[in-house]
Amino acid sequence: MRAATIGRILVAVALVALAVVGAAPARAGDPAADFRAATRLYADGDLDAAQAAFEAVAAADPRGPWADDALSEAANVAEKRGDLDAARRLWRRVVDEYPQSRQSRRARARLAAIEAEIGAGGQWLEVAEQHEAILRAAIGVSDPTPQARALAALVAAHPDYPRAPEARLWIGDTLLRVGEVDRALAAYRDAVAHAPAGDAAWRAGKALGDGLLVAGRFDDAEHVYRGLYGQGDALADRALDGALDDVARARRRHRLGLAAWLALGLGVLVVAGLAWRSAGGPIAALRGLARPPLELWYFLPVAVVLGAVAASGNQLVERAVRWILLGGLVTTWLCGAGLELARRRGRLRLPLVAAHLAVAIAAVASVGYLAVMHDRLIDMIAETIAHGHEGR
Amino acid sequence: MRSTIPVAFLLSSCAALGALPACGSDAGDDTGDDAPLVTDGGRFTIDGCGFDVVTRLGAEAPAPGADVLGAAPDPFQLHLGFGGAPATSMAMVWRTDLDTTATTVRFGVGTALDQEATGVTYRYISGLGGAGDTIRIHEAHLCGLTPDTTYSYQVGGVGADGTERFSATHTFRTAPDRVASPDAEVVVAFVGDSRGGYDVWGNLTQAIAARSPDLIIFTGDAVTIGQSQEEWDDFFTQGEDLLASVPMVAAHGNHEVNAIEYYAQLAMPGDEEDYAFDFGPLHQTVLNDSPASSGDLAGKAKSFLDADLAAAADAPWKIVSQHRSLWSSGTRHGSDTTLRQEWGVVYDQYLVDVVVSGHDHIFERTKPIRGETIGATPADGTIYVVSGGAGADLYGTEPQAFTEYAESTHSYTIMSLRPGMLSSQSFRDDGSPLDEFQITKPQ
Repeated sequence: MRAATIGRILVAVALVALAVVGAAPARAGDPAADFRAATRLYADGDLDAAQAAFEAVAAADPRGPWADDALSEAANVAEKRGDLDAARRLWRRVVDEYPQSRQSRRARARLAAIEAEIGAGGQWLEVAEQHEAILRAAIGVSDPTPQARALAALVAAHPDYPRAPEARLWIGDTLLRVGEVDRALAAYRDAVAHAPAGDAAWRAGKALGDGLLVAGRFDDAEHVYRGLYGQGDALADRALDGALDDVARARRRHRLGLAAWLALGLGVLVVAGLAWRSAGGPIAALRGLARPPLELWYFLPVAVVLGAVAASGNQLVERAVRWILLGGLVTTWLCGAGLELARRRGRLRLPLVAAHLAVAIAAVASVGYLAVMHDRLIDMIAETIAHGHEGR
Repeated sequence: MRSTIPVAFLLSSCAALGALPACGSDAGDDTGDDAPLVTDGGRFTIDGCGFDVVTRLGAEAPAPGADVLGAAPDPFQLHLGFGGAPATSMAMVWRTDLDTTATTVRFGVGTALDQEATGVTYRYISGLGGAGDTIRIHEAHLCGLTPDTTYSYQVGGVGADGTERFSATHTFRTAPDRVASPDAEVVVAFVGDSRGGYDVWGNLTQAIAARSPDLIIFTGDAVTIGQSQEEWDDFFTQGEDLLASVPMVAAHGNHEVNAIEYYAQLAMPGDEEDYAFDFGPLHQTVLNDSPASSGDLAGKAKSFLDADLAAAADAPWKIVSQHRSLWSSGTRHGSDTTLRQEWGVVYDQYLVDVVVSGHDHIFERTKPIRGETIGATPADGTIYVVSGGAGADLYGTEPQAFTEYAESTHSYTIMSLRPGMLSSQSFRDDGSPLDEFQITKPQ
C-alpha cells in the first residue's frame, strides 16, 4: 500500500474522530441534526471536517434515512477537495449499498466520470488529482496564467494521461482569454499534435482554427478548418461551414478596417496639404488649423446632447457614438478650419471645397465603420435588422 | 412576430394499465392521412391528470394516438418534460414520420415495462409563414406516478397488424414530494442560448449528463430563428441522450419569437409561458419576458409572478428563470432596467433566492442585490446568474460593481438544493470548474 494512501486513511480516521468529538451536533444521536451540522461545515468551507462529518452520519445509522444522502454529500465534498480516490470510494458505496436511493443514479454517473478520469485501474489517480487541484485554483482568478503553466508542465510530464487532450485545450483557452495569443496557439497546436483520432482531434483542430481567427490569421484559420471536413458528423461539417463564413466575414471586415484607417490618414494629409497651400507655409497652416471654425460651435452642443443620450443606453452603442462624435468633431474642426483659412487668404476655390467635402465624407464613413466594428457592434446591428428591435 | 392564441399546451394520456387513471377526451380531430390539415390548435381534456393539453394556432388539435405505423415509425428526438406536478407526472415528446399516429408509452417502476399509456399526436407546419415541412409530434403524459421513484420507459406504437416499433429503454426519476421527503436533495442544471452553436450544445449535454441532474431549466434562445425546424432538429438531436432521461422545461427567449415550433415541441406546465412548480425543496418559477404583447410584462406576467411567489412563501428555495437579465455586465445587452422595475421589486418582496437568465452569451454571478443596493451575503438579496453560454457566439463582459464573477465562456450551472443549503457549481464546456457558491438558511 502506498504511503500516500496510508496517510489518507489515517487522516480520514482522524477526521471522523474529530467530527464525532469536535463537530458533534447539539443533539447527539439525531442524524438530521448531525447532517445539518455537517452541512454548515460544508457551507463554511471547512471541507475536511464536512466530509468527515457526513461520513460519520452514514456510519452512525447506515440503514437510516440520512445515510445515502450523507455518503453522497461526503463524495461531493471529496470531489471539491480534489480527493478523487475518496470520492470514488464514497460514490461506489452509494451505488452498492443504496441502489434504490435517489442518489444512486447520480452516484453511477459520477463514478463513471471519475473512473474515466483516473483510468480503469486508478493508475492516473495522482495526476488527475493534481489536474483537479490546478483547475480549482483557477476558479475566480482574473489571471490564471500560473495555473496554465502548471497544467502544461503536468501534461508534458504525463503525455499519455487520458485527460491530456482536454487539459491542452484548457491551457489554450485560458491563455487566449488573458491575451497570450502566441502561447495559446502553441497550446492548441500541441493539442492537435497529441489528440487521438476522432472527436478529440476534431475539437482540437476547431479550437486551433478559432484561435487563429481571433489572432487575425485568416488564411491559417481557413486552412485548418478546411482540413477538418469529414472528420466529424454532418453537424460538425455544418459548424465548419459557419466557421468558414466567420473567416470570410472577418477577412472582409479587416480589409475594410485597413481601408478606413488609410482613408483617415490620407484625409489628414490632404487637409494638411491644402492648409499649407492656402497659408503659404507650415507654421501659418498650423496656426490656421488650430483656430476652431464656426461650424464647431454648432456641432459641439449637438455632440454633447447625443453623447449624453447614448450614455443612458447600451454601452456598445454609447462607445460607438462617442467615437463617431469625436471623429465628427475632429473632421469638422480640420475641414472647417482649412476652409476658413483658404477664405481668409482669398483662395477659396471650388476644387478646394470639393476636396474638403470628399475628405469629410471619407472621414465620417471611416470613423463610422471603425466605431461599429469595435466590440462587434455591427453584429448587434445586423441582428436587430434581421430579427427586429427587442422592444425594451 | 406571429400572433398567438393563448390556447395552451398539451394533452395527457393517462390511460395506463394498472393503477393509473384512465383518460377521456372531449375533442380532437382525425389526424389520419386523409384528413385536411387544420392548424387552428385545439384542446384535449384528460381525466385523472388534472390539466388539459392545448395546441396553439399553427398546429392541429391533439388527438389520441391510433394504430397506424407509417413508413418510418421509429421514434426520434425523444425528450422529457412535464405538464403537471413533476413528483407525480412526466411527459414524453417524440417525432416520427408524418403517417405514424401510434402513440404509446410502456413504462414501469425500476426496470419493469408492465404498464402502458396512450398519448396524443398532432401535426404542425414549420417555417416562416408556415412555408416549411409538416412535422408530426407525439406526446404522452404519465400521471399518478409515485414520487421520488425511478421508472423505465419506451415510446413508440403498435400498428393495426400488431407490428411494434418502440424506442430503446430509457429511465427517468420523479421529483421527491416535499411533504413526504422534506429533506430530499434535488439537482438542477441551468443552461441557455445554444442558438447556432449546436456542436457546443452537444458537448455540454454530455457534460451535464455526467452530473446527473434531476431537472434541466433552459433559459431560452435554443434556436436563432424560432421557425427554423432545422435548428430545432439540431437542438433536440444533439441533446437526445440527456433529454430522454432528464425532463427539461424552458423559458421563452426572444429568438423563439413565440413560434409554434417552440410550443409544439416542448411539454411544460400551465400556459407554457409563465408557470411554476415545486421540485422537492425548490419552488421554480419560469417567466416569458418576450411575450407577444409587451404589456404582459407589467400585466399578466407580473400578476402571475406576484400570486405565485405569495403562494410559495414557505418554499425552502425560490428560483426564477427567465431569458433576459435584470443584472448583467454583458457588453451586448447588459442589464434590463425595464424588467428590473417591473419584476425586480417582486423578487425583492418575496425574497427570491436566485434568478437565472441568459440573453447575454456569458457567465456571470452577481453579488446579492436588493433594490439597487449591492449586499455582501446571500441574506442581503437575490443572486442573479447569467447562464447564456450553451453554444451561441460569445459576447464580451465588462464587470460592474454588482459583479461577483463574470467570464465570456460557454458554460452550464448545476445547483444542488436541499432544505438549509443551496450549492451551485458552474462549469465551462471543457468541464473545468468556473464558479461556485453556497447559500445556507436556518431550518
